[in-house]
Amino acid sequence: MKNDGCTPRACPSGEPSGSAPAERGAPLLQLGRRPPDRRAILGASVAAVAGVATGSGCGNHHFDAHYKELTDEDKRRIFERIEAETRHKTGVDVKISAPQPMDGVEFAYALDLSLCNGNRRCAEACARENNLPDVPKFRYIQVLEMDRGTLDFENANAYYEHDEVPVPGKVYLPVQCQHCANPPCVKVCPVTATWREPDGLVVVDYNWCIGCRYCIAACPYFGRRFNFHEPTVRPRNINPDMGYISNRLRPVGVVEKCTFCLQRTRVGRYPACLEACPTGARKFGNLADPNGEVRIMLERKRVYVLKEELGTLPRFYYFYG
Amino acid sequence: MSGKQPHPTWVVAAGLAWALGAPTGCDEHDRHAYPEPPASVAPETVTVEPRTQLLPTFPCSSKCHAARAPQPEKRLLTEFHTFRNAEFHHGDPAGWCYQCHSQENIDRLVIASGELVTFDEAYLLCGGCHGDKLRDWRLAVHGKTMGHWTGNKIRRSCTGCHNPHNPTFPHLVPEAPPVSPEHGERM
Amino acid sequence: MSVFSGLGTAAKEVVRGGRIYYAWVALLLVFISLGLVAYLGQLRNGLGVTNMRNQVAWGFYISNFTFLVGVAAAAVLLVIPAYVYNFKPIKEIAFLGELMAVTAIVMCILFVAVDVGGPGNLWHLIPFIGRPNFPVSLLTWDIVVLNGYLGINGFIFFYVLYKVSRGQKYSRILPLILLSIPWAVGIHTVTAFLYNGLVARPFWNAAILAPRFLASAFCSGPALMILVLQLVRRQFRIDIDGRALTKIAELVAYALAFNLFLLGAEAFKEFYGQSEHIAPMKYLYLGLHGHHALVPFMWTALTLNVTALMLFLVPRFRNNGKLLNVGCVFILCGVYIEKGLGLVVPGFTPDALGEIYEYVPSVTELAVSLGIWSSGALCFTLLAKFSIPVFIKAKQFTLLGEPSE
Repeated sequence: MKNDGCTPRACPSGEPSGSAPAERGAPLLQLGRRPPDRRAILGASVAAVAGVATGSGCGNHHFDAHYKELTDEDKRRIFERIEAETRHKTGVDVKISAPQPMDGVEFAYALDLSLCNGNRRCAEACARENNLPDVPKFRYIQVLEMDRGTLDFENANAYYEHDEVPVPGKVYLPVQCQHCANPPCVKVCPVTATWREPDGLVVVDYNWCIGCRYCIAACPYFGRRFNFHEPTVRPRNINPDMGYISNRLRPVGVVEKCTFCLQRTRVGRYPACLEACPTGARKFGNLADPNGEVRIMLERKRVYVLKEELGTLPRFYYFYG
Repeated sequence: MSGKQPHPTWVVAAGLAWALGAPTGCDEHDRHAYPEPPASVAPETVTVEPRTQLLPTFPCSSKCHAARAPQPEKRLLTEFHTFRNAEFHHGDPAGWCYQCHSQENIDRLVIASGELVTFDEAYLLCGGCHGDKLRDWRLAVHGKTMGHWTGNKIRRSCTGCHNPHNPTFPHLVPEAPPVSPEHGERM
Repeated sequence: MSVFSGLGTAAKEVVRGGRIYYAWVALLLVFISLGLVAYLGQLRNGLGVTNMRNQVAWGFYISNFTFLVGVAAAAVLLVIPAYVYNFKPIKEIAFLGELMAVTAIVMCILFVAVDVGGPGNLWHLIPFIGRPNFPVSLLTWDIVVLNGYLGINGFIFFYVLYKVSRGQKYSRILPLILLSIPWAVGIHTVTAFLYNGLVARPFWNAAILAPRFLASAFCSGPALMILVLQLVRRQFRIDIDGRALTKIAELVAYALAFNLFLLGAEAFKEFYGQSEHIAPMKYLYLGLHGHHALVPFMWTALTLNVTALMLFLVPRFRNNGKLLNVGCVFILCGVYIEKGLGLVVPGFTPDALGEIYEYVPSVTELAVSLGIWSSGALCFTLLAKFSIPVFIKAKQFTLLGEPSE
């Protein structure tokens, strides 16, 4: 059982987040503010019923308010709770943080297809950095192997196994969340559990997601993953440097995705996939910076984006260097 | 403003029109327009990853070459560097050590102008033929950049990825694939 | 006070019944328990116990949901002739249509509820305390219209029941009854748009989807209605005018013909053009890259639908009770396959990156779905058992004979 033995500190079940008065990220639908206690009581009672129903007692996060409504105090409390829970569950001391977007930054990614040789180091580094479960084994980055001379998804293979790559006659196309400027997944979410941050990162509030998977249906790039099973990360594989809306351990039944390693990139570092790429095919930078790598690439190289005709305006560019 | 969710006025008609129009309010993301540049761009410092310290037999002059005079005539190496005979696959097959390595100073490389450069500056030598790649590399469009995108960048030199004597990027063993839902994911 | 005693006696009717009635209710309760056990297993272990995966993110639950929205919307086919054209034979039984709509919507809501990964978070959908993404997300629209439809039909049903039990007229809620007509179209259109709006899924992203939804809904819902009406007629020994059934059958015939026409239009567009968007269609009817799981089902559905159309088009056949029933069963099965698995699964097959994962429902999904269908049937049975005697007492129906029990 995942919930037994919770320390009282780990489960402040009497603290519904509805008491959060601040409302920074304006919700799409704001029908006037109501007294917080009423909301808290309602939310808590609904959640309590649901908590009983799902058999998840103190381990659940059904009381937490939406990320955008959390005050600094709420965040501190919730982060501490998650840290304690993680310590209890895995024995690993982790640090949860929520780095904020920087002014004048819009992230973009570029990938040189003439260099990618399909070695999947990116997908593997991503899995470690972002605490992807060991079981079941899925990846945020799907590296597609295609016949040279085609760009045909239908005949692509993401499950190739070879002694060495690249295989003659094949080309490789890694696909991950494209962090669209017009993200279809964000549009469809019924509870605003996913949104595009000011720096262009499309993120998910794992505590708010109801797990309806409408966003997965809406994504043209297979950019999202749902936790069909309880995700299990071996303690030795856990990356303790965790972002609340990025790589912290996710509960079962919610959708997760690539965040361009928000916990790294918002503090100035490069995404893990880029650092792991031995061919240097991956480029990352600030689209707003005229001297940034991605901007220079955009101005000097012929680029294309996947499924441009869908109007999603991806911030992930492919080019041939 | 850019990237933020729009804040709809709570009028059914307006909301409807808006919902049917451009729901995520990305009009400002014109596909040809870039966002506003940041107020302050951090000064960029690019460090080229040094190579010399990684070379096991460096300095060549003191380790081996001090004891022997340079032999400029082209020949099959039989005593040392014998693997180079088989390995050398770069450019002109008639190439020879002293095309790139300096005859005067074996610890240096010689570029087209005749100037000597260190092994850390090998890109100057490579760029002598591969000017387009050097240009892209300087702009970080080619090659690997690490460190911080905000300013302090570390750029891997040409020879960090390419063996100058056999520059085709080596084949790699790929990481294992994800588990396809057809096999085994069902627990 | 006679009202309450009247309702009281009606309530007693619910617990009184013959052997068949008790056996039926017991069977449903067994199925519901099975479903409940399966669902508890799913809650404990996650949706991994279903065969849905990231490649095929929606499966049997959402298929059933989609089919049932159609059934709910089809109540309108009773309301229109009854209240717009004042066709008396159907007016007598219109309340059963509303009851069926209520039942179908309840099942719809259950199917969505069992499909989500975090039912404990469902309160996030509630206005004021949650953050519903209205009006941008079509799913929030669907929740609004479905609950509205449930409210409207539930209210009409109980109001009419109450008025009839007191021997009063209920013409005051006529506007509400008329409102339910566009609303029924609305629930199905919104549900179609839920799929239709996804640019990622070319199979759904075709303007023909909403019309096809409506056409197929107006086949399957009334077909189910015709079967249920006959069961009600037999069980309660009440006289349901045969003209009502043939009128409904006629409407079904039109809808079915239109549905097949739309299917043909879609098939033409895909197979003539041969663009890459043909893949889901190929997967359904021909098989794609060696994957054929749905092919036999789709051809069965097509055969059933075409046969049913033949039966319903010829007045001599559709006026024959037995053939009518056969046709109805054919349509139900045909549309259930076509609009359930045949609509939801190919949207994901091949997936956005061309991967083909052949989805077939797992045992858990089948059990949970059986449980939900059974709870719907139980809900209908109990409410019918509760309400029909009230109508009989109010001389709405003529009895065929003495009840056998």
